[in-house]
Amino acid sequence: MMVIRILLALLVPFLLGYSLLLYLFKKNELVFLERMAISFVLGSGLLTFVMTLFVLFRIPLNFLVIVVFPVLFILFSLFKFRDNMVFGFDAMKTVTFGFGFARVLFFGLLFLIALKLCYVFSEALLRPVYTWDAMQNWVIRAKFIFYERVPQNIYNTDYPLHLPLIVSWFSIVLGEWNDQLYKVIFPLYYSSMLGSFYFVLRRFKGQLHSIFFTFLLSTLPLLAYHATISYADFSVAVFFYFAVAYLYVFMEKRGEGCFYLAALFAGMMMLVKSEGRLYFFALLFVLAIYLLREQRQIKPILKFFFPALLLILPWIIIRTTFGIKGFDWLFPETYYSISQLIGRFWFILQQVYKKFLFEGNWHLAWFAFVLSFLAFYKKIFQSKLKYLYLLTLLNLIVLFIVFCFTEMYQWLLGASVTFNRLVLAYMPIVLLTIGLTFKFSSKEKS
Amino acid sequence: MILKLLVIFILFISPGFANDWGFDGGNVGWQASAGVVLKQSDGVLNIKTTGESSYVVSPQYEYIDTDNYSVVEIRMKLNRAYQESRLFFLPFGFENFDRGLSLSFATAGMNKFRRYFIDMKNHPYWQGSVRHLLLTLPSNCEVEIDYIKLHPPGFWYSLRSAWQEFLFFRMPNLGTCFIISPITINFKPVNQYIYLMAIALFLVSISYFLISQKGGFQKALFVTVVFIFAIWFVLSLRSLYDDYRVLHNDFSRFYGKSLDEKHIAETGRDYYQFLKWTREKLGGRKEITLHVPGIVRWAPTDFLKMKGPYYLVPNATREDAKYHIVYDDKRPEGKFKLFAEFRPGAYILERTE
Repeated sequence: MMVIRILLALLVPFLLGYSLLLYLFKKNELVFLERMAISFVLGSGLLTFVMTLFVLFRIPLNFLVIVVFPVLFILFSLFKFRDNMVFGFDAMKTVTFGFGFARVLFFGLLFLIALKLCYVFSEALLRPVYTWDAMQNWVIRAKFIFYERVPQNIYNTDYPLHLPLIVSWFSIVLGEWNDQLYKVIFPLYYSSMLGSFYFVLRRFKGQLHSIFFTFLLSTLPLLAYHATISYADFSVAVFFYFAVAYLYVFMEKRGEGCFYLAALFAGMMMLVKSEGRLYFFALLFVLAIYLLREQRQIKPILKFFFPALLLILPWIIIRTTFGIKGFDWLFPETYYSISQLIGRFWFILQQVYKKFLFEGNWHLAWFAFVLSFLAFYKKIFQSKLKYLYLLTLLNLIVLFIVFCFTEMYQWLLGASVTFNRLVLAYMPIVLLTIGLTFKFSSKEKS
Repeated sequence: MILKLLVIFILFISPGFANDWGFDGGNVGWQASAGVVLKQSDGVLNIKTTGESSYVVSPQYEYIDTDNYSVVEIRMKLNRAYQESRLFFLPFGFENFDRGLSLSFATAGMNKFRRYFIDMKNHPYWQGSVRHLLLTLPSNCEVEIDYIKLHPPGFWYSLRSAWQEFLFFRMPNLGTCFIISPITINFKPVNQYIYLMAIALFLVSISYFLISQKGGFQKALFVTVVFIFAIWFVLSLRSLYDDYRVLHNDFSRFYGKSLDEKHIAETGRDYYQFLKWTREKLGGRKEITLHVPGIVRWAPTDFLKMKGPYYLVPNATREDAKYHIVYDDKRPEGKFKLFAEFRPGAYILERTE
């Protein structure tokens, strides 16, 4: 019985995402495995959006109440697109090389990624929740939601609701509070991101190239570690990655589906963590530049903005109606002096140097990022890659602004607990950018 | 002058310089910390550690001449895999063992004798005469030490020590999960060496490409980036080895246990059972105030304050609520009656005002 319940808890978000993709993409626009990779994350975001609406209207979060709309939507979509329901298994075509060294290398790397996935799944599911912020800020609210159904005790913080809701969804389906099984969400997010990463790269690069960079992404130590604990920093990284990756595909290939998919993920990102808003505006800015330069029009930005706004709107209303206090303490009572700001700036710069280049969190990613830029700057400026670099630059500016102009600076001093977790949000994008920029040989697919 | 005379006197009466401790004939003056069982048998030093801060310490005033000896070799066996040990030393002029006077090293798989090499010359205070060594050991562990030897500086010893250090298991910081310490060699981040190698490779490449007129800057950069990817790949493989060690330890700790037993393993038996008991005693949803000490010997700072409110849900923690939960902390001021007692020091109070 328990197994059926677990499957149900996974299946509903998965099918919800899958159904939505039916509206966004034609049959052959996405390969089957890529659809699988997108579906769970997309569906989870959508499910928590529906649950946020219930929280807003104070409707008890009971299993039948939650599933009724998603199931109706799934059934309707599957019926409507019954001819396109099963997508071609053309992903299999992607491994095209014959026997030989390249094939061995490809499957060798695939095997190593599988090992990493084994680690992430096992480690996540071996231990119940035990980490600091997960217990104190996220899962505790999920526990209140599970016990109260019309939540009363979750409004003491400004943190958005995606994580507490998706965690509580698991226990609601299981019928008992379980702070271990729900953790399967994060390895699933992680696998979905790796799957999508491969297929996004595969659109522009060779098989070995794509799998190699997917392997590098999978082994980023802090990212993989965060896929085993229940921090929102990881989830926001996943949603941000999806938003950026499919926006980039849209820029290169002009698919409407990718555009709306990116908008949906961007909106959901704001429902995961408050920082999502900053990343959203950075993304919006990059999109505006792209539209003005490449399409000479700005109107499509509204098509991106409004779906995203729609997704975050219930949470904005909840915040207002329940009088949830924002991070007032973040903003100083008096302005900082110029000398203070200069001092902070240099200190942040030192931290960037130290943490990007010498700690064990990201291996050699940042060094490779800078070198790739220097080695291929002509190609970057001639292609759409410049928008990814611009976005990373904006993300870094956000980092400086956050630490320079707010009291977050205190979290940079001493143990510096937030810095790497903020950077975590865009590390998959940094890897994607490196992977897209680099060319191992001139013969490579471009 | 008096100090110098004292030094000469101590050197005169001391057993002299030491460089090798085998345990065939006894524990040769090595002592253990309180609570640690230490005995010698079959030519090895058998040690059974209990809680944290278990250690063995060398006999005093068996001086180590750091100019001649800088590599410490320890052959030992543990029944717990992938733990961390730390070798402290006391140079002349220092009175106490301090974390700054130590180097850490990782232990390998369990139940097999292995040799660990620690290259002390990387430590800035490994100078002059060292008069004492102290070796910390993992908690709740059975250890057998075959010998502790000192070697003169040498390429192979340094290489072996560097390799062991490269593989040193680096757990993420479990506080708020914000950092994974860098892989180091000679206690410097390995990235530092890689960057230097990359710069050297770039300079060599650019010279080659310029001389052979086959391009220049871009090609040299390309070669450097490929080199970086190759090394990155090696680091990634190494991180898989870390994963294996994490899983190895966590499987032995958690696999096959019930959810309750896992909570106990994460939270501490007494505290978890107290919280569970409290939840049952309070029945429905109540507002509570939790009183726990900020620092306890067996857990990180504020660990109890963080875990308590979580395990007590659906009761909501508030300032000054009707029910006060006290766990090994000061009894709150005000008018209360005892609602229920778990054990002396751990109880629930109900406000009567």
